[in-house]
Amino acid sequence: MTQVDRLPTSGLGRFFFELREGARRQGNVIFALIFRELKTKSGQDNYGILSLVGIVLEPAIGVITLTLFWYLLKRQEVLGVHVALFLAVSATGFAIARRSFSSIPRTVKSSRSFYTYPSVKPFDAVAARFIIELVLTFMGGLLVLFLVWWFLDLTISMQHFVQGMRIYAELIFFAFGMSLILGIYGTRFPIVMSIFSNVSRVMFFVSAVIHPASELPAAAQVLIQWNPFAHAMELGRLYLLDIKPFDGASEAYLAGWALAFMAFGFVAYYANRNKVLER
Amino acid sequence: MIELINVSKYYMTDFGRHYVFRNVSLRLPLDKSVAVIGPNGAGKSTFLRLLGGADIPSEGRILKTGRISPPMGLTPGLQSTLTAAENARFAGRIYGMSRDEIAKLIDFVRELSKIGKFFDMPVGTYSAGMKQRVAFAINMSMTFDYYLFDEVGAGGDREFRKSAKVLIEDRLKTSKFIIASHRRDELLDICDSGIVIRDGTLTFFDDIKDALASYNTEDDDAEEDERQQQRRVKKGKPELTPEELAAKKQSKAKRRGKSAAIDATPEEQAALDARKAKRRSKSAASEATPEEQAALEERKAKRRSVKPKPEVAPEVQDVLEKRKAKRQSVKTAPEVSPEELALLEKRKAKRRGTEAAAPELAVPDGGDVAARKARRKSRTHEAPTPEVDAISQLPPDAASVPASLPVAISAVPDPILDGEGVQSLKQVDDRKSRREERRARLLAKATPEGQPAASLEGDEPAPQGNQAVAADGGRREALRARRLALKSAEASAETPVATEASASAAISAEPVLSGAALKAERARRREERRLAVSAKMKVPEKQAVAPDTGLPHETSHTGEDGPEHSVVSGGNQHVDSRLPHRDT
Repeated sequence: MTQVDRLPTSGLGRFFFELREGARRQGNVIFALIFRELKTKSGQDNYGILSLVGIVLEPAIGVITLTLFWYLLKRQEVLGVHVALFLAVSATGFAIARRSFSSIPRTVKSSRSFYTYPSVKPFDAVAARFIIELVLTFMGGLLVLFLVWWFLDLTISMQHFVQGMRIYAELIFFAFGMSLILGIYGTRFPIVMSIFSNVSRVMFFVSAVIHPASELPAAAQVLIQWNPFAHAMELGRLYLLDIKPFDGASEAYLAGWALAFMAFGFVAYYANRNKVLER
Repeated sequence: MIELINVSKYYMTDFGRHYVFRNVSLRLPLDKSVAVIGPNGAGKSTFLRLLGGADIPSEGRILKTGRISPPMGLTPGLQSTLTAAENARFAGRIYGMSRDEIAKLIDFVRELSKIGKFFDMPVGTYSAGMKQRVAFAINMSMTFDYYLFDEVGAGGDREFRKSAKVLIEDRLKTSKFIIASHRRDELLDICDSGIVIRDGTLTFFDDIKDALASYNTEDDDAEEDERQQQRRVKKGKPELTPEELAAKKQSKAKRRGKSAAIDATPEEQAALDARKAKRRSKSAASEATPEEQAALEERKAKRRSVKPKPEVAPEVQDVLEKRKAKRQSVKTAPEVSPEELALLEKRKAKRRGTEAAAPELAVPDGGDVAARKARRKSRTHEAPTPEVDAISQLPPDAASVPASLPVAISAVPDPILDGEGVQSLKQVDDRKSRREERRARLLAKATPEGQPAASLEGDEPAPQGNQAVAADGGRREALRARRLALKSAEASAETPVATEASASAAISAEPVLSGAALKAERARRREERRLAVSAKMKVPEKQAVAPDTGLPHETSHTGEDGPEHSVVSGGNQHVDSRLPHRDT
């Protein structure tokens, strides 16, 4: 019996049936793609599982390096918080944003061979890689926090943990929208991808990741207020480390950007999906 | 059912939109496999991608019912960083298979693709053919209502195409195929109907033959013409004019027959069939005029006639037939395994070695002749022909001549036994005639005038003449004695016992011997030797016969030069199963 033979005849029943079937099919596809991503990541340099460990350790290594840099500048605290903890919270949040500028959009092109399967779409490829990167990044963040707690006996504030996670969720949506947009336009126009890869490096320094925005000059503070990532960093530190953000830091602003990028990402995908599938 | 409703597909190029299809509406039947035909770049692959959902129409929509496979073809959907097993697993996961089902799927793909150890290596290390094998196997590992293929097994070898064909034929019982291909035979085998794609339009034909006939191969022909011209230029030949090219093409099509029939219009096809029937059927011959018929028959007879065979005596005919039967039995001998062959070679080498080591029959007494015969028999493993048998059972003629003669006798070549196997009949005949001449010459020399020539061959000895011959030269005498024996042996070839008797009689009648005592002594020795030879060469008196068939059956014994082996015995034929060719 074919799938069509099992279709309910009534309109509403058919709608829910199709919705369920579609979700199930997409779930299968994303699940398969996640396994494929893991396999590719672990097998890309012939180090197997060590490659995954390297990805998890990457944020930790970054935090350790920056901490040492601050130590060299004879500074151990930022606004009353240990520099290691300050960097652990900021770097973890920014890591997912940084990846949405580079590695995630590239999956649209690298998964092209799978598009011969009618159920595999570029959106699924982006979603699968995003999930993988998110999980690995947060594992890395948790590892850093564990190391900070283990060696320095410092922990994040759990008082506003939910708000903190909400900020991170908004950041994730924002990053996903960005990934979708860059995935589509970066595949169609490779120059876009190369430009945004460089932008992500600059963003590291203008998003209040390694220092608080309040310490920047007034002129820079005006500029930084336009950057949604800076808002995310400042608000994240507010809820998780009780560090006062710069004036004008707004969750609504961040959510607005996230919503806009998500919407724009879906529209861009829908408008260009045929062109992405073309060989 | 697959239905295209006002479907257009275009790609943006530097020169604007390039339409592959423009406003196409089509409905493909559920119960037919469809061939997609068209020149290169017409949009066959795009059409399959649209049907498979791997691409989306620029305008219009495609309605589909049933499960449709992903379009597999020259660009297989495999991830190069993953192994074939992982790609198969990926496909299984996409279709929501359970872990057990995926394991079975992987086994199926491994078995069908037959790429050995490469199956667990990244696809990036595969050749194009291997990739296609894996892609085909993955596609066929799942059940679909429609299978979409772009050039089935184009990159695979003959073996793979064969196995793919078998699998496709099996799937055709439950599923249908939509295949884009340039292989007519493949399309005719698999598909019932066809779609011709040309200039952005799709034309559906209910019959595949109609589709193929409609498919104008102008483009391909032009390419072929160009290639042909290039080949001619390379060879330094002048280019052909379009008319010459057309004529060449026509003759080529005529030769090909079947493919030409596909290209031909129905009228041309009918004419072609009629011509073919005329050529082949017998009725065509009856349509010819009597003169033509007669000429035809004459030519046929001329072609078939063979040179008249020379008349052959019944005995010779018998021998010939026996040899022929023997040759045929050798031809139809069963195959021997390499191990058996090696063993046989080894034994053969061993036998040859012993033969080489053996003396060259310097003293041709009865024992040596018997040994030689035994060796030869074991080498050739052929049943002796009546002549050979008769001669071999004769007492050695040298034994009946004076002791001063053996060297001379040993130098005389034996026309049959000393040859390599059985000699040709013509050679034997030639030798016979030469012998007759020599005998006549000897007779003229040895017989006194007035003595009847028959006395030499008769029962009555001619002591004087023969003594003179013996004194003249032992060689001649020995020859004559042997010839006489041979003659009597030939005369009584049918009955070896009679041969023996007549031969001994012939020899005993020889007038060479002087003195009755010596004669008696020699006869006695001869008889002893003969008995010894017979005892050595004795064939099993009681032939083992299978009770049910009455045919000789196998008995086992241990050979002197090897392990136990079986021998099939039957009449005079000794068949050693250690040898490759023997058929009783």
